[in-house]
Order: sequence, then C-alpha cells, then structure tokens
Amino acid sequence: MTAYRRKKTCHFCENKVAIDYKDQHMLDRFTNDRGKILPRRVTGTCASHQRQLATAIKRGRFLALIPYLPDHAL
Amino acid sequence: MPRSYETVLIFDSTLEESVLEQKLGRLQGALVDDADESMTVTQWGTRKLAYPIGKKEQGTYIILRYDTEPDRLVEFERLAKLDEQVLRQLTVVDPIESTIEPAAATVEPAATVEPVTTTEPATTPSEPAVTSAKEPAETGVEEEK
Repeated sequence: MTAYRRKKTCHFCENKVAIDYKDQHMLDRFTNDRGKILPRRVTGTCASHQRQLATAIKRGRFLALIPYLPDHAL
Repeated sequence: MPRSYETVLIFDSTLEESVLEQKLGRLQGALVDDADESMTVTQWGTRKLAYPIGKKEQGTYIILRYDTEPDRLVEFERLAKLDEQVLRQLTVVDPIESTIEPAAATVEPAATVEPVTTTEPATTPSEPAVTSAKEPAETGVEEEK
C-alpha cells in the first residue's frame, strides 16, 4: 500500500510574508525545543527563504529574542 | 549616498528614563543631524531577555529607522560599544517594513509586581536560558536579504 504524503509548501511564499528578525513568534516556530534551526525538509520552506530565515534566527538570538540554548542545557 | 538603516539597541532596564533619553539623544546625534524629522524611533519597552546578558535579565529595546551616510555608522558604533549601558546593538541595512507589535512581550519591572492572590493559573514566561560567556561578535552592519 502506498502512503501518500501531502506536499509541504513554503509558508513565506504561500502567505507572501517577509521574514523579520524581530518577529519572535515566527522565529520560535522554525526552531526546535533545543533552539536549533529546523531543516527545510521538515518545514517545507523553499531554499531562498530558508537562507533568509537562518539569518533572521541568528539575528534574533543575538538580540536575546530567542535563546541559543534551552533553559535546562546549562 | 545615504542608505536606509535599522538599528536595534538594548539598554540596561535599570536606567532612569531621563538618562536613557540623554544617551539615546547622543547616539542619534551621531547618526543624523535632525533626529526629530529624519528618524523613526520605536520603543518596545522593557522585556525579559531570552538569556542573561552580563547578568542582566531584562532590557529596554529601542528600534531606530533612518537614512544616513554609511560613514556616520562608524562613529555611532564606536559610541554604542563604549557605553556599558548598551547591552546589544545591531544595525541592518535596507530593512523590510515591519509590522511587529511588541506590546505582548513587554514586561513590567520586577519592583512593581504584586503578590498573586487569585486562584487563576499563572501565565508567567519561562525563565531565560543560562548561557556561557561566549557571545558572538555580531555587531557589524548586515545586509538585509
């Protein structure tokens, strides 16, 4: 039996939203509970937006909007 | 030729408002000649930091949007780095139009928090992550995609 999986689409292309490094909730959505950037095979983000997203997440971390590490890591 | 920039400054939350205004005015003066006309200042207020910066748990976020000559940023960054009350500064060139509403994340200073007497479930934000002293040297100007 073939399992069909819905094709993932890029959240930013579909909704035509720009990636803002100050949008804490959006950045949270694309990091896992260890604070790591989720791969595009998981989120479905296109290559162009994934690169922008990685930059935005790194800026968000620097500005202490999102953590580098989870609370319990140290 | 002037370019448009966006700078996020995080000040120490224990600073008095008058001192903060004074420091901000000095930094603005390094960037533009007339800050009232050619600069947009957005105050996010005091927020809990995701991790402590120099033992500070809270910071006052201020966002500046302006057009200026690239040469003037050098002096601005020098002044901001010298000021110990500036916890972080990040300047981005050609920023996108932002629609972020920061009010939800704003926290009151700890001194004004009263003891909770209601039986409602507490909705306090989680404690910030404790990180090592290793901080990235990411204070330069970055290109917005």
